[in-house]
Parts: sequence; C-alpha cells; structure tokens
Amino acid sequence: MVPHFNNSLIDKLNSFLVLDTSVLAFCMESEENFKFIDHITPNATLMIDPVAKLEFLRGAYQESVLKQRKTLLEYKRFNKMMDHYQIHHQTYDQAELISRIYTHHGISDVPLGDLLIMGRLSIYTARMMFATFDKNDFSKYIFDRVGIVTIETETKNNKDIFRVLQFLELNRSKLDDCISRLPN
Amino acid sequence: MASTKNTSTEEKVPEPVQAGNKSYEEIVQAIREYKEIVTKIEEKKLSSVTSNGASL
Repeated sequence: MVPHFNNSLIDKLNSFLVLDTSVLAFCMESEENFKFIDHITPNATLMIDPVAKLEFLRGAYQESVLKQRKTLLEYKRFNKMMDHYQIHHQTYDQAELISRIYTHHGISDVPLGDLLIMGRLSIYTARMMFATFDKNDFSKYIFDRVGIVTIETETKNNKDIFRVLQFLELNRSKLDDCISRLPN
Repeated sequence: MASTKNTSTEEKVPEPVQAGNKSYEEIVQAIREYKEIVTKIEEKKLSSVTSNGASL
C-alpha cells in the first residue's frame, strides 16, 4: 500500500471527521491501512455514524469476524455520533431535503444509507468533514473537496490498482442555497 | 421556492462520546486476527470449489 498525497492535507483535517463505511472496511483490511488512517488524521476528531456502523457490521457471518469488526469500532480515537428520538427525526428531515436536492440535479438513486449519513452530518453546527472512497454519491453540490489521497494497493495481471480516498467538507452555504432553490 | 429551512439547527446536538477504550495496539492485534480468519475462510471456499471440480 503506497499512499500519494500532499502533506498539507494533514493540517487541513482539523475538525470533526466522519468515516464512511468504505474507510472502516479499508482499515480492517490490514494493519498498514489502519496505521495510515490514524497517521493522516492526528488533528481530527474521528466520528462513527450509526448508519456507517450498521453497514460495516452487516454481512459478518462468522461470530469471530463480527467480534473483530466490533473491536475496531471500539478504538479510543473513535467517537459515536449520538442518536436519539429528536436527532433521528432531524436526520430524516435533512435526508429528505438532500434527496430532493440530488433529484433536482438529476440524481435520483443515491443509496438510502448515504442520504442518512449526509442528513446526520448536516444537523451538526460544527465544521463537519467526511472521508470516503465513494466517488459518486457525495457530490460537490453540498460538499467542498478538502483533499484527495491516491492509494496504490496492489498489482494484478501487470496492472496497477489505484484507490482514491477523498476528504469532503459539508458546505452549509451551498446546502442552504440548494434548499432555497427547491420548488414548493 | 421552498421555505428556507435552517440546516444548522438551533436545537442542540449532543457532543460525541468516545466509542471505546481500545488502544492502537489492541486494534492492530484485532486486524491481524481478522486477516487470519478471513484468509482461512477464503482458503476453505477455494478448496471447496476445487474439490467439486469447478473451474476457477
């Protein structure tokens, strides 16, 4: 695993940083991957969204696999994003608005889990960043791109494999502007 | 135009709480064990496929 990135990214990741399911899965793949995520985020408060947690744990057929995945989520640098009745409703309301924004931009098939993650991100008043390998479902309509890491993972059939980890920041002005443009 | 709903809600969202107290070393150990388990599962699947004569 060889990451390529601008070192200034480490300083830019200095707020709440929510890890997508894809990033949690990346950490679980190898000690090296986990070390890298830990290394690149010393100034960030790492956050685990309950939906990302559920996505990460589902599909673990063997109890031993489930146990190790749960252990990762108990890392002392990880923080739980709280969930309760009121937050639940706020999250759904925001997810609905965001789904309308995407639909009005011609994207009507954003996965439910991604909408809920974006909905929860948007109810926090603090600066919220998001790390994901997903290049399609988190658009620049409501996010700014903070930085990108290109990761050389392996060589298969003499072809290099690259993965792109992107760091996004929710832009509230963009979000509010998009919402104000929605038809009644 | 849609009514402008303030996205940064005035209602207070609770501060995040620490998810656990596992150290870096404990997580690394869990990842190593996880890799061993997953490798064994994949080997088992592979031997099952080959013993059935299916092509890879």
